[in-house]
Amino acid sequence: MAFQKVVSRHFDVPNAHDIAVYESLGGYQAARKALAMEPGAIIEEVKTSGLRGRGGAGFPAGMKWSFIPKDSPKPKYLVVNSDESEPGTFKDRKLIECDPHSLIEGVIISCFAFGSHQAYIYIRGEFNQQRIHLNDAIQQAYDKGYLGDNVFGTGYTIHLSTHRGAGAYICGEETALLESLEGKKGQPRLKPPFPATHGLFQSPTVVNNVETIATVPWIIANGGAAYAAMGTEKAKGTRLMSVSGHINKPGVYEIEMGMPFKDFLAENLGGVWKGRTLKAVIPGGSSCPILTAEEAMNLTLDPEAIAAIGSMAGSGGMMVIDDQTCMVDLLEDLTHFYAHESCGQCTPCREGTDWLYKIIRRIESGRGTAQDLDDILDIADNMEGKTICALAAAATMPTRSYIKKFRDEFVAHFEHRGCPYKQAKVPAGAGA
Amino acid sequence: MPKITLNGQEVEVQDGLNLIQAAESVGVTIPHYCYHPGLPIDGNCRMCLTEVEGARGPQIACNTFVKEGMVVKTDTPAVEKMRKGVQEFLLLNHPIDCPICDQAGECRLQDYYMEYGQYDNRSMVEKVEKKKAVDLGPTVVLDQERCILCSRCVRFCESVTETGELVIANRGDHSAIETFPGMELDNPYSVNVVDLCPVGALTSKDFRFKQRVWFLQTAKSVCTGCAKGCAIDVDHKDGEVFRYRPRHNPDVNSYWMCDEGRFSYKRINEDRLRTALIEGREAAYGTALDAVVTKLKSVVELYGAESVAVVGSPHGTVEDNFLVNRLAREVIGTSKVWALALTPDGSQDDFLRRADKTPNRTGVKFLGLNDDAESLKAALASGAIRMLVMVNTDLLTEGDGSWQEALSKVPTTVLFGTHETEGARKAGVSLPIAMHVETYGSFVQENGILQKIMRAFDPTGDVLPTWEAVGMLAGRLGKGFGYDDMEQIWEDLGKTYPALAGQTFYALPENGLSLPAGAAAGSAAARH
Amino acid sequence: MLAFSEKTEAQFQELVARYPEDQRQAALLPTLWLAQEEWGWLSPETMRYVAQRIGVTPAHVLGVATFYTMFLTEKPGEHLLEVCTSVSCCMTGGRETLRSLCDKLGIEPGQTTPDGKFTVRAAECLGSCDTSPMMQVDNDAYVENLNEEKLVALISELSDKPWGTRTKLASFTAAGDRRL
Repeated sequence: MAFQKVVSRHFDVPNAHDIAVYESLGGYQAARKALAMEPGAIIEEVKTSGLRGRGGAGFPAGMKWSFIPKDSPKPKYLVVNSDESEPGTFKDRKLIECDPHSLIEGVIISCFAFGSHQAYIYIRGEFNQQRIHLNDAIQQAYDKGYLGDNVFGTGYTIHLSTHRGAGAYICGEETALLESLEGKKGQPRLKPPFPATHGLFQSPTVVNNVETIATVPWIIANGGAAYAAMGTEKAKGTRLMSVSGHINKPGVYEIEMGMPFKDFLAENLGGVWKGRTLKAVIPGGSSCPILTAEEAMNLTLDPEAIAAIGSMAGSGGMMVIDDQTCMVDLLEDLTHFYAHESCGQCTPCREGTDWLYKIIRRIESGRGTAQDLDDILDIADNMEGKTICALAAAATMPTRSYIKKFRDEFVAHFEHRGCPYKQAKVPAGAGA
Repeated sequence: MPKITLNGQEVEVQDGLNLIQAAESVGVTIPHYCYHPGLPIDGNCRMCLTEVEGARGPQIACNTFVKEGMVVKTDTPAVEKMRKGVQEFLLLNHPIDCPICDQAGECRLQDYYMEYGQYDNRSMVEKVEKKKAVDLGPTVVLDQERCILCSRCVRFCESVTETGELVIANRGDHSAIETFPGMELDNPYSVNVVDLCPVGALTSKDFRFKQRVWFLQTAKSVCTGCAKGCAIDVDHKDGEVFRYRPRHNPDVNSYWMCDEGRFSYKRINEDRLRTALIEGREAAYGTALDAVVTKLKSVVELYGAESVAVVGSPHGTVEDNFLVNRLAREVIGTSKVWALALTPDGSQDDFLRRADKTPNRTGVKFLGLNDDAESLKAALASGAIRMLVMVNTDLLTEGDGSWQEALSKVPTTVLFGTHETEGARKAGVSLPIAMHVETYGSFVQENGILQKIMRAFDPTGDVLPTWEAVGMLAGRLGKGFGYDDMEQIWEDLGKTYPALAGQTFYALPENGLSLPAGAAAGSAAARH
Repeated sequence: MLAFSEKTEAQFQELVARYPEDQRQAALLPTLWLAQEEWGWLSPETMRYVAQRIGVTPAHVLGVATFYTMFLTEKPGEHLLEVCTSVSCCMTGGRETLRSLCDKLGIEPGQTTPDGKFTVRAAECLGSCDTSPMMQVDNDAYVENLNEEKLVALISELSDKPWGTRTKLASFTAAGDRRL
């Protein structure tokens, strides 16, 4: 099937955030249809679509729902992860701004599918205007009777509210998010148990990304097979890409899984800015190992292809880097981010992220030695896979890749006793 | 009992254990900081990472529970590297100020560095600065830079005392233990956080800077602060007690003790009666004892044995009171025996503190001794008692007005006492006796668990353990018991009290001997 | 003794009702937001009040408030300007923007102007990488595609607005930066 926009289909429609406009585009028909279906059939349809989580981990959505125990006496919760904080990622923000009702409609269908009556949208604290905007849309849905105690007159109850975070990247990790939603520090939980049985308030819980949930109405309206007909063999459908950095047209783009990067760059992104040359690409958010220009230009944008060259599709946060960028400087900025965002719970991450940052800062400032690179790799080894969540690895994986693929730039810093690019006038994260 | 393979050896372990406990049960140590069996599992330190076959990556032993057929490795190069790595991370921002740190000698950072660290320092980065010598409250001082953020103290205040004074504030490597501004760590169990702290971050105001721990010796004992009878370790040096620390007894106090009990050690070092007194004046021990013997003989001769009252004490051990009873009934020949103290009730809660501030009330009841204070007072007030022998119970000091009036009717008082009190000076004869850390014996706590106490050091001066002093008096009265040690006393205890039959002192169980309810039926025997 | 204004109290009651009755603690973050909007920052007194309203210990509130960067446990200036310096913004001039802003105000990142008007901080990724360099004002509005002119205009516009003015930054939203 030819590519068509799914989750971004209303992005260019003026005022699609208004329920009247949304309904005039066929909005809430999928939810009506779903509430007349067997819940199990909805899950099957989503399984058929091959829809995978769009938050970064890529877990099949339908399968996640089917893990929810049917016989649990506890309430079941849907929690929408709108903590979008991975550097380079801003698609969910755009989605909430342009098409909040597709998210709300997705919530209704998903709740009904696995028997939930209460959903929360955990939205990062910085997205305050988006939260207010989303609250307005939720109120419209309540006013219409699409949310509340008698959804579409079926007698089914679904309550939905937003929950504002307050500035912590780690809350994007689903169990940290649940902790935060419970009024605690956002520190990831030990697993097992998993959220499917012991999630929010120790009850069965599904945590899904905004884009994932917002895709569901289209799947119900058009059928899982129609969605699965797009994309590649293993990566079905479409996805949103947030693209930023040194390109002419930064923004959010929906692409078919498997689109060649070369085409994406030329056709959608308007090429590298200022007529410069491509140096590197971060394919899916700052924690993904970096790709050289050559690797990127031969790449198709689907998780399997990206994994095959040692990186990740992640959250679709693509950053394009031009040839005048100092990779050490960029890595310094990136490691500062992870040091700042480590929750501080596990020893290797708490201590290791800041240690990496300080070493890379030293290299960037011209005081590094070749030994530093060996040390970094060894420290990274002591961090990866040794912690409760993946934040440590999110810092080490890109770090390794920068050193591996741009080692000569690090060496240049040792030799020049400073940064050959002389761009950074302010250290990363000063005053943060 | 599941079988697991640990480092290539198939071993059988108890069901429900985590890997730290399971390994421990077969003699394999898995190093850890944050895990503590008395606290909820947190899994933050990552020191206990092990390899579990089939698992995705290394697993923390504290949160991995044994399953039949599990294959676990704790001795591979990979595990060693992980431990070394964690050690290195923990020391990255640590001040490494062992020479001035009170924890030195009992610090896990030190111990594990020697065991698993031993790397060359490659840190070369500035350490994160945090607060030093933070006054957390009346009992505990915090050094944030020494802290490894294991959160044991936080979890203790959250889940054990449920007072929640401590929290880890901020995040990342700026995380630090804090109390809320203007609030203190001030609960009745606060010093347990010092015991829990695996490093030198939390130190006890009472103990810090007093003694290097490697100079201390330890004796297993029981806290005498109240009827709960928390198991303790007594840390001492040169005849001085420096601190109590709770000793694990799952049936009594778990891993904890209250601050009041913890600081009750101070009484051992203060105002002790070290020499005998005759009417308040120092006297040679033999002279004083002879004075008691002479007086006893004359009173018995003039007024009969029943005119002598002997009072044991719930402050004394089972063994001491057993001998006090025998002294009265067999040696002196009086049936006027009590065992009681007038120690006022104190603070109580539903955790470890008990209003009854004596350690052996259940024990004296078990022995069948009369603990009815009113009947004693009435007997004294009647004037029929011509001589009163008090063993480890200072009625002269602790008694109120009505007691003083009753006591004034008794011409001769003898006190076997621990402290130089008003009563010790008032008594006709006072003989110095040992406190619990200076003798062997046992106490029965409120739920009938008999726990033994081990001598930390010999008493100084003319002080004798009660059982020896009472035995000596019996000897001078011509009916010595012939006891040289606890075992001999226990032989006779076993003969007298069926519940103790077959027990020997040294083989008493580590967690105490649970006396069957109603075991005090043995009391009939005690009364002959 | 502190107390929420009538309006805030109503909001508080509404948000507590969103969570199961036995899970009142879940309302902690939203309540801290209410308190911060009411009093400008989270003083110890405010945190104590919130602890009492939610039914948790003050220490717990302290832990939570200091964990999240948007909660202000130290009194900020009237306007909080946070310039994103993470990856994409770093690549497109975020740090230079932060430097420039600080120079204009005569302070360093993390500081407050002597007149108490502005506090400037570096922020980690604010999720608006396509409009970098950008900043967030008063934990609320995004000001995007920053350049020298915008910085000057922003400082001037905010200088007249006292604390608590909802930052509907007309000049920037009108420029089409954001449709909200």
